[in-house]
Amino acid sequence: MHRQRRLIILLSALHLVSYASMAAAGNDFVVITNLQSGIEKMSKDEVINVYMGRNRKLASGINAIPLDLENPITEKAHFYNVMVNKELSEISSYWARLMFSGQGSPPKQVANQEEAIDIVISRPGAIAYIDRKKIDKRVKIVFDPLRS
Amino acid sequence: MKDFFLRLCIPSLLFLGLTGSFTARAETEIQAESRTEPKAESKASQDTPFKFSGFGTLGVTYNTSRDFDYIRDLLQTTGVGASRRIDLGLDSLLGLQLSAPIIDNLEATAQVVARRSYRGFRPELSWLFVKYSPDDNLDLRGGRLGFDVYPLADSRNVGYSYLWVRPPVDYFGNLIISYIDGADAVYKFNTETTQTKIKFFSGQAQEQVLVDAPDNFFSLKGSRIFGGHLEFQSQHWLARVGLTNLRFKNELPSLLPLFAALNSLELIAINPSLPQLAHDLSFKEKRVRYLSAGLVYDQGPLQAQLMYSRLKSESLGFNSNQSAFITVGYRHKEWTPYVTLAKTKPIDYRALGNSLPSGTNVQFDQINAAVQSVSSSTLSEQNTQSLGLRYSLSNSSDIKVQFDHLDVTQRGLVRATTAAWNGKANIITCTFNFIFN
Repeated sequence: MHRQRRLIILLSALHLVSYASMAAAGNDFVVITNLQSGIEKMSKDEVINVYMGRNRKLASGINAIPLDLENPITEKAHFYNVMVNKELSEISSYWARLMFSGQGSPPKQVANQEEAIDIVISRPGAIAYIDRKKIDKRVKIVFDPLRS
Repeated sequence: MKDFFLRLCIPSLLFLGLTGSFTARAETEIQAESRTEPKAESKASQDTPFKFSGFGTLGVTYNTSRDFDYIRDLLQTTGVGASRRIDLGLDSLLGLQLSAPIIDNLEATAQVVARRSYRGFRPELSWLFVKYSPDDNLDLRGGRLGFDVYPLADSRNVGYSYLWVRPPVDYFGNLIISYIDGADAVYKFNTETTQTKIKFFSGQAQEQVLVDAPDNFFSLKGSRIFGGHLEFQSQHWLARVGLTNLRFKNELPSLLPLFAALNSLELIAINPSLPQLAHDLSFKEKRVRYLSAGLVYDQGPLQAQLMYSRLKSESLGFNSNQSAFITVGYRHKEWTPYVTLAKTKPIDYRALGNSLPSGTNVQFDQINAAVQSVSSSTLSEQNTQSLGLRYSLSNSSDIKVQFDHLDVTQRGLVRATTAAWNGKANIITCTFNFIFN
């Protein structure tokens, strides 16, 4: 009996720890676009539709260029977890279906947040999710998960 | 092996050469990926806009019965069970895809798949098309295109893109067309939260189906096919309704002697409806209509699909049927268990084996048997209950294990059956699936 109780406590603690670390795995992100993107705000659905390839344009009519972060991969995982409650493997699967039936290709994979910001500054249609602490006036915040 | 690579490399090289001569140095958007890992020597430079990607499955399957061959679809002539107890070739396949922008709004794509079909395990050009997108809402494609009569039908070779080890055989197995040579047009209409797509296509089918072992094939080559679908998608739902019309161009050659007999004066004297029977059994110029409907629900860890299709055939030699399946999967971390129920059954089937008095004449009996055989050559009725588990290994690979309980009443979707078989079997499969790009 005693041993069972200890096991349950241990398992619960492990579970809590893993949950806590998962929640902290991704930094607070915001979704940004170029200052000339022509849009001020995007809804959660609009961001999802662009990232899932369902909408190829931003609301202003410019071709959307969604960017995915390759490093750290926890940022990418956190983004899709928050936005669509999906694991990265499910996102990969989804794109495999579309890519191999000629219906599109996944967002451009970018090496790190600095590079993503550089691209957003230079391309009007670029859109990226970035740690809010790295944002400055050179980009525009169009979606904040904590405020919707 | 050398033969295999030659067959794969020569079309790839031709394709590279063709698009290379049109492609300008300028990148389109930010599509430039320098990761072209050529199978053969490529003239593409370092900063090429070519996109080379691929998918594959390594599968092993076991059939508890030795009395029949379980197959994946009608394009396979042998399977697991009677031909082999453990099969590495049923689901194993490799697909390579090359896609390149030609000029603005124009993109070319080629896909080659090597898998087991009626030609053995050989690479086949599954697609080769050019896509023109005059504006954001319209895509026009021409060339060799995937046949996507059902949602997912044109990606049914990509194991990594779905939960199962193979698309439910009772539903997808009846498809005798995987690609068409022709053109299609997709018009998209978006609102803030929904996407609507309308597609039309027209072309010719090219493949062959085994009607009777070992080598009695029915060729679809040149048969006109056209159709379309309407698809509606919202955040969590996808619904699609489609119609397809196929007209057989060719006759089944082995039927000609039978037709000659049924049209002979002596036999007409006994049964004057024989010429009509011959006409009803024939394939040439007969039409087949598919109606298909599908519903997909996808929210976070839960996904479910329901599909129904109905095939009506003007030829008694090609059986009308209806099929359906439902599948539900729920993901927990890397694990996704799923369950599938699938079924297919005939529509309007009548036994036709007694057009001539039986038991009196050997020739009469032979003709009766031949008529019965033709009218039930594609007759299939079976249902399958499946339980499976998918484990995500990485963001580009997974492993699945699936257990299928199969109950077959009419044997059109299986091969090499023995008379003694009771129609039941269990299939155990494990596949490793990957993609790369």
